Amino acid sequence: MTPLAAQEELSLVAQAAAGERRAFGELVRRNASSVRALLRRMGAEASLADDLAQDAFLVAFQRIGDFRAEGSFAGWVKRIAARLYLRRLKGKVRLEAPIEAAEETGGPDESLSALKLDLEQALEALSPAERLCVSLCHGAGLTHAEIAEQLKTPLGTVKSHVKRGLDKLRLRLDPGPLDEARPADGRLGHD
Amino acid sequence: MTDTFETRLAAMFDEAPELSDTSDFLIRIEAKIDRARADRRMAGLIVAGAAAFAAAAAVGASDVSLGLADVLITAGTRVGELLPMVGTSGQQTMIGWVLLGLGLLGAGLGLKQVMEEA
Repeated sequence: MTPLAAQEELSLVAQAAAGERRAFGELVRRNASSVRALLRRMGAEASLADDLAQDAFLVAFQRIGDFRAEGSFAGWVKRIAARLYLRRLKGKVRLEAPIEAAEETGGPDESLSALKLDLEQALEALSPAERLCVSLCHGAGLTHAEIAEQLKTPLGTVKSHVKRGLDKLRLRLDPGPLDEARPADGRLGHD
Repeated sequence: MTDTFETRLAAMFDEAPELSDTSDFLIRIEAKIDRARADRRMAGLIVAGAAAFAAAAAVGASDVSLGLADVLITAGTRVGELLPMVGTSGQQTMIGWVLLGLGLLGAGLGLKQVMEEA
């Protein structure tokens, strides 16, 4: 019989749905890191991220029959985790509409743009609201409307936070336009 | 036009440092699964108990046949089995306690009726 570690995701899901806990354990092993990382990227502290990631897998185990395989198992669990985090935040967080005049602290700082920062570092430059909205939207795959509904926040506010967060991330992670704007020098050409 | 940055960003979100303590993480999930199952079983038992109390109350109050009690107990047990399919274990336990409360109230009223008739 094929070892669990070598089996495809859908096969493991089918076994887990039949009550095979070892198969579910393999799914946890494969996906725990990304679910936990997403929660941390949304702004959860390490211990809370661990706790919520475990709860998300618990819900996934209980409702695995609902998994339709229209996306990845990881994506499905991430959405569960994101909703659990939002539920936890309910009443504790209020997303204010971004103030246009208050410009972000870190503009297109050339020293930053020149570096390829990793996602964690880049996210630190975002406000908590931007970080949460961008992570929910691009990390967990929730729609703007879902985020607005869960956070009881106007849709426009969510869209603004996502856009501003994306703009800041683009400056830090994708400094392409700046590179193109620079005149080509020897380092970019052939040796 | 597709924003390739957004596509790459989604891919970056998929990347994550490997957990160093996967087995501990897994053990904690298993413990939560077991605890949730125990909670649901308890909720089912509470509902079944509530149905039994309600049945006793109905029998006492209206002096109907014991067949009604059987029906109510069976219905309560069935509800107890179905309960795990809805809501969280906390909500189920709460529903169970509410039903038990109603059952006790019914039993009390039934007992009062019996004592008044005696």
